[in-house]
Amino acid sequence: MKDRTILVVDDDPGMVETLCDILELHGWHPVRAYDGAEAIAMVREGEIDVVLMDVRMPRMSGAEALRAIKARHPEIPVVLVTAMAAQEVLNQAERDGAVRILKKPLDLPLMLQVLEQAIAA
Amino acid sequence: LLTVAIATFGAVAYTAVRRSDLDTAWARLQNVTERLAATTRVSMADRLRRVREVAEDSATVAAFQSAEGLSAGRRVLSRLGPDTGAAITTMLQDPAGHTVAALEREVAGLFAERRDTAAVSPIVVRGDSLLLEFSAPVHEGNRLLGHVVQLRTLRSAPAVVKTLNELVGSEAKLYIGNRDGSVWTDLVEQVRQSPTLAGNRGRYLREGRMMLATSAPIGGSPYLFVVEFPEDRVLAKSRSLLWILVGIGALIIGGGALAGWLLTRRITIPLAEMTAAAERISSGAAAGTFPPVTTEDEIGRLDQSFRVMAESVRQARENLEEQVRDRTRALELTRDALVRKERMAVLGQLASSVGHELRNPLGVISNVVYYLNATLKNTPGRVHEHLRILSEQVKLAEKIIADILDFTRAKPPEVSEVPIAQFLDEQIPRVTLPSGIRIERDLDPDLAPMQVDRVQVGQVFINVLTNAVQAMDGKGGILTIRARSDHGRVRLEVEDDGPGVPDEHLERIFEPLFTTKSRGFGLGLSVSRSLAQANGGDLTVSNAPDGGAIFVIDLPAAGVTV
Repeated sequence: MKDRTILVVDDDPGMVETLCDILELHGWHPVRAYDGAEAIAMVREGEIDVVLMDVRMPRMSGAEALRAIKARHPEIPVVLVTAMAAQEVLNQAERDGAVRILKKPLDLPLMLQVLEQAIAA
Repeated sequence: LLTVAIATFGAVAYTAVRRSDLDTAWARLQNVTERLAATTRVSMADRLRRVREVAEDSATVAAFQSAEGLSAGRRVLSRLGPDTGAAITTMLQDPAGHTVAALEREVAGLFAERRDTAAVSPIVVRGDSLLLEFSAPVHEGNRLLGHVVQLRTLRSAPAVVKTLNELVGSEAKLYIGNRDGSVWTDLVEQVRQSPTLAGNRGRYLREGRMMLATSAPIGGSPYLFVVEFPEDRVLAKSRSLLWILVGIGALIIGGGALAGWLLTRRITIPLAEMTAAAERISSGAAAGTFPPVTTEDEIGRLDQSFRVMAESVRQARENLEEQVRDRTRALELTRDALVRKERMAVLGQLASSVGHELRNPLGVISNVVYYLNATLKNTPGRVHEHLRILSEQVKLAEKIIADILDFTRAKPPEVSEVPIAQFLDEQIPRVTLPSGIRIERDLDPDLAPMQVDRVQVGQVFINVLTNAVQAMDGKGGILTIRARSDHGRVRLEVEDDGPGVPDEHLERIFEPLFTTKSRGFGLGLSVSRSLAQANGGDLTVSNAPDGGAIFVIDLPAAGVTV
């Protein structure tokens, strides 16, 4: 059994906090980041099994962070969350290796299921 | 002008006639006067000849020379006798004027000076009498012995007056006077007013009456005959002509006035009415009515043309007004639509931003609810009930945001063949049906599939279905879903058992932000219609005869290439 460390990335601390608590309830070990650059740094430090990341963030977007993460750690599954994004951005994200793109408002059971599948793979 | 012309003509005619009448009268008077003068001259010459014969008689010479001359003179003079009543006396006078012998009585002679020839004296007034003298010299050789003198009173000669009256008329008057104008008489007495003559003609007032006069000298005498005749008698004819002229003039002027009045009635009045109507037309009012001209002349035809013109102007104006009304209405609609679109564009951007920003906090709240539900396993039921309400309200908020975002975001439809029965199987369960409502399907047996964006049309259908359920307001009833194929189209009908849509709302319910619900943005049906139209169809509503509303989603069927 892996450590199930999950990096939750969102510029909204409320969202990060609540998601982390919910994930903890379901046996995950969440760590927090609040923008793309921070997420990349956290991944570089190692120990991250899955990344759950919002697409729209200030400074560096989730899509850019995805490419950076995948460039160094193609083995780490990344699940993106978006409220609204242009279709080509989403298509590009899929080509860049995103496991799944979840839509806001988040369907929590679906999210948990997707994350379980991602770590099992 | 006519009046002036007639007056001028009348005046000229009258003057000409008057002048001609006067000339004629003068000529006649002249003629008569000269005839009278000639007659009188003959009788006077005759009398003077007889006086001269006596004067040349040897007995007369002898009478002057004899001692008993007086009686001898009487015998001689008796030959001249009192032949007429006019003779006063007949005398023999010596050259100094002393009477040598007198037949009746002795009277002073009338001549102022001695004469060597027989002559007639001027008329002399003596007492009440008008006297004249015929005298002839008596010579013995070259010696003047004296004169035979006969004095006569001037008397009216009945023959002359008769001639005058016959020739001229009873109003003619004869005057005789000395050529030097010293005495004038009407043959009865001396008259004070002398005839005023220029040449042999005169025209003057006597006793307030204008007279015409002509004169003629009585040859062999110092006398002048004047015949006077009242001008009015002469001019009676031309006066009557004048009155006839005046009458004719008055007739012509009166007739002219009458004709003018008639012309005015026939021409001017219709023209004035047409002018007034034309002014009314040009000022934008209706032509109005005025009595028609029934004549066949130019005015009648003008009236006809004018009426035709007025009618076409009226029609043109009505058409124009109608067009302006139509265009104005269309413009207003376009403008309203533009304003609405503009407003919606701004609102859409705002709503889109607000919606997106609200989604995050709502997501966090959802997470909290999830977490609390998961962790508060042993808390009282009321807490969980509150969490359920919280969760429901979050979903409602999310639905509102979804509507707003759907409305503001026009995605092109991704069409595919969608079988209707399968479509309904998928969609109907998405709507939570209150217990009293039963759905009845009424589908054509061989329905063609739709050629649409499954998601978008699904959204339309769910919207309409939700609407129908809400319209039935929990009272329950039957909700009928009909599907029909029709010439490459598919008609999806949703009929509810509710009260129907008020007529005044039938079109408005598709307007954005129009809502009759206490909750909601009024975007659902607007979005649905836009989506239906984006999919090549339409969404309409009508009321069923028995009261419910019927929403019709008209869509293209598959297998039809356009």
